[in-house]
Amino acid sequence: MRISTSTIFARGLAGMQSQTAELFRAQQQISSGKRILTPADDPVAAARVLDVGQSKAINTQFTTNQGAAQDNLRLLEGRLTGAADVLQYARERAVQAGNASLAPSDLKAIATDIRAQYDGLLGIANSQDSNGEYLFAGYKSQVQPFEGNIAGVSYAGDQGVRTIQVSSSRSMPITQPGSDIFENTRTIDNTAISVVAANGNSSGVGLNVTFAPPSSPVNPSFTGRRYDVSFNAGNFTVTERQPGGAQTSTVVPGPAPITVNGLEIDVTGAVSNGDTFEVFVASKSVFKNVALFVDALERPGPANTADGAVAFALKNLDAGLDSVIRARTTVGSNLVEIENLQNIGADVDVQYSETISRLEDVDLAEAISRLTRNQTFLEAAQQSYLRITNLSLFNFLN
Amino acid sequence: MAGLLNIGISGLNASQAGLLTTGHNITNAGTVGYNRQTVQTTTNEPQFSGVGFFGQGTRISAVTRSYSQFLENQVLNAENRRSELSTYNAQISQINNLLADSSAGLSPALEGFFSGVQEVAANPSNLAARQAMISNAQSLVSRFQSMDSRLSEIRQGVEDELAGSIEQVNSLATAIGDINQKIVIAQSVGTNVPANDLLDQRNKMIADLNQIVKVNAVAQNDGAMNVFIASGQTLVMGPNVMRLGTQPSQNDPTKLAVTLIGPSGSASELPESLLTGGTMGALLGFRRESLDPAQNRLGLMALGIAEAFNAQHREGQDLEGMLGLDFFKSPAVAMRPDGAANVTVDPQALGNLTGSDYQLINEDGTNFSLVRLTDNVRVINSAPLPASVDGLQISAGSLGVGETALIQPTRFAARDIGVAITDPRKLAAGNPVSSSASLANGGSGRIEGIEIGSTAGMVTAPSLTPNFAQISLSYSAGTNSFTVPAGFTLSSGTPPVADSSFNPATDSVGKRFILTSPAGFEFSFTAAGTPANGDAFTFSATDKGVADNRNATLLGALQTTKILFASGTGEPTATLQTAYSQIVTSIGNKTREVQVGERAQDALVQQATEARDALSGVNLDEEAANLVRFQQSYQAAGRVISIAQTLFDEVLSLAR
Repeated sequence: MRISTSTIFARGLAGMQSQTAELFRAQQQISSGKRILTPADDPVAAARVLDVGQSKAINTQFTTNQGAAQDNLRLLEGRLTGAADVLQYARERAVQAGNASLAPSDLKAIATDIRAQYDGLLGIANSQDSNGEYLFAGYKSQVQPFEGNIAGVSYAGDQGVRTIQVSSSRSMPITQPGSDIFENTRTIDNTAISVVAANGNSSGVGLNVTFAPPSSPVNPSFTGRRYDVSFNAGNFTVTERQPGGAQTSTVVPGPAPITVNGLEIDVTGAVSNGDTFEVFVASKSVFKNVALFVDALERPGPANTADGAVAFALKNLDAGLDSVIRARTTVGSNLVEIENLQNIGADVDVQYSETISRLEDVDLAEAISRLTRNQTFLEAAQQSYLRITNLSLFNFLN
Repeated sequence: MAGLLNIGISGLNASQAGLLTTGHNITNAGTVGYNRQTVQTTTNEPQFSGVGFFGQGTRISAVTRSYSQFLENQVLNAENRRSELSTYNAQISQINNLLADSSAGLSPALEGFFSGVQEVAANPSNLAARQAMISNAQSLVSRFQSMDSRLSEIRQGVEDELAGSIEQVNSLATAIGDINQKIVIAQSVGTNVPANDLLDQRNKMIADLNQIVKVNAVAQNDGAMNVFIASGQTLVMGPNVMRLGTQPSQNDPTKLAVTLIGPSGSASELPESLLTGGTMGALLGFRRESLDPAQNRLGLMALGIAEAFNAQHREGQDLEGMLGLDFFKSPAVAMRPDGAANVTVDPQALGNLTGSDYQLINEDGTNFSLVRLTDNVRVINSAPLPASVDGLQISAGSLGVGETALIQPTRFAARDIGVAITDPRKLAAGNPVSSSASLANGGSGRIEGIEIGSTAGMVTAPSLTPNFAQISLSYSAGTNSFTVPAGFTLSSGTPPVADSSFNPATDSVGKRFILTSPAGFEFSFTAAGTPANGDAFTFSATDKGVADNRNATLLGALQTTKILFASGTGEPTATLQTAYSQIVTSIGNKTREVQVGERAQDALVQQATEARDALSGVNLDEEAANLVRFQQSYQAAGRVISIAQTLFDEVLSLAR
């Protein structure tokens, strides 16, 4: 076969160029550490890297969110533990107040102590996070949720529960509205009413107090109250004592049953003239219940004993404590869940990184051996090119 | 004696011609398109004598070139395809490189943006987080815009190169016309006298032309070569030459199309499908098959994120208590001529958007047809407007009867997208509807997961603050159902049917209801737990300035929600990220295909060229041998003359 001289040059050059291109490519792969330099090198893997990259980024975002949720929940847990401690302490003092040997001045001292606990509880209910946002105000995190004092506390927050996306399918609540924890500690039915007969009554307990129909649901304004009821000549005198407020008396003519302030008061036995009873109507609000207790200790009713107040307090402080502990349990289990999610997230992150690495990273040993091989080939091509192109018959003509 | 002398001289001439041609071959060894030449000699007419014929020496019959039309055609075909593939590769590599870096493409901007949304969801009332989200959105938008402007630059480059190619075609055609004339004159002395070097030059010109666009060359008897392009349009006819030009395409005035300019100067557009092969075919093919879809797909993503995000954002409530406005400046549908029709994107049917361009035809004033240009399907076939198709809502505009308009829903979307909100307080992270359970409730019933279906009638224009009256929901244990105020309806299920029953025994894990108001707004919620008889729940407008993150959570969920590329059943199949991956895959695949094709074609060109050069190329060793051969034959012929002279001298000396 004839071979034209230009073919010899062209073919040799093309060979060296393709070797150089391969060499350059191997060098680029080694210096970038990536097998896929452009999507064209492996279109499917390149797209997959992007997809997995997004999954990894989302996972990282969820990890960040988990951290934020964890911080919030820990704060919440701390505050709720504090609230439980306060209520627990108040309960212990209430038990102490039940000691019949205590003088009224002792009871007043206990009342002062519990009043301080009340303020402490209010402070906890109004706690803020590091951003100055109220923890127990629902969505209204800029508004102080519990406004007031022992005379009455109103809830200014809402019932919103803030959540954070901690995994693709889980929105974790990171706050609990104060209304759920402090303002909804018990259900209201007739068990919320307790009646204590005064020490000097001639008859036994003969008063039956229930909520007047319709009794479900009970109007909240009828709850959280304390009354003295005295019976005289067929008439009932109902005196209300509000913590931090004056007392108001109403005379309601008999015969029983009578209805006053949503309560139906009936007599069950022989009630003598001059008999006096103390009636507590518990509230859903733990603040109200504590306030009623404090007031009952400070201003004992006609029953002239702390027994009724103590019984009322133990029952309702327990309800408050239950509510707080329930909330803390939820937070605790959320924290456990987050820890699990963090472990899973870390595992998944490693898996994503491995996938991405497997898809786009270069096998260095292979690439370096390829580089060396191509280098050898190129050098051989260069040397042989020189040999061949130096051959010419003209070299021998003279 | 004279005979011998003449024979010697004829030998000298022939050897000299051989040396000349060999020298010509040697000096043109590197000339592109040169075919090696050979001197053909033949014997002179012999002289008859009684005993036979005496040879009279040699004469030169022709100088021929070693040329095979077949081999040359193979090279032409291979080079045409190679030139096409290499041009295509050069163009598409620009997009391929643009998408190459996974840390610089659209993905990181998309991830950054949604991570900003998540930050807002985690800290809904924190102005710094809100500002960060807006900044992230701006960087996403500018990433869209910079990618789009890079694609537009590439498009401009294609058109510049197209214009340059056309200039080259025109100058080559003119040169071929000129050389045709010269060849006809040169060869007119006789058919057996080929004008070798002129023919080589013309072959070279046709080969050059062929690298730009596929041509057909047909030789004429007089030696001229006629050149045709596309489907037989004449470019060169003997000495006469037509010209190519460019003008905005009739179908799509945003593009330059190739035209053939007749002798009278009238330009007619050459359909792109006819201009195949070579640089020009590659440029047109690249623009049509790779650049347009890539830019449209990118626009589709921009449109998708803008519309989907806006729709969700409008269902939220900002820090000032107002309903959300558009978060992104949504790109308008581009149309030529302007105002030909009113086309908007249906945010409910984003999955049906295709990324194609469309042609709208006004058939008879009432009936319109819409042709999807990627597959030439008539998605509206002579039907009245308005109509909704492919995620577009189309109503009639100023398009006259029989006229057509070009609709490009996504072409410029990546360029036109913007962030509409600058005030961080305007970010609608909250949900305009809040629920609360009455504190008097005796049961454990609760309302959660409120999602807005429609905000119609929730506000009294022009105010944007929801001011609807509280809606109370009360539960009756007797009938196991909820009661809503008159005019409101509760429904459940898919599709929703009127239903207000709630049986705590089976539904306490949660039952989804849709509440529709007489004013038009509606929202869904989950009722769960065990409500007691008479328990009441209220829905009310959310207060302003609250740390409500419900809508921000839903906005963040858009990152993993499939919103694009609906399947046959209408279910979207792609998230924004997968839509981007699809662009990367399709460009990557095409680039790879072209690169592999180019390598294969290189080998083909090499083979064809070597086959041709084996016949036509100059081998310097061979020429060196020829030099020696002709030198020797020259010396031998000289020797014949010197013998003749000696013989003559001998005769003269006899006479002395």
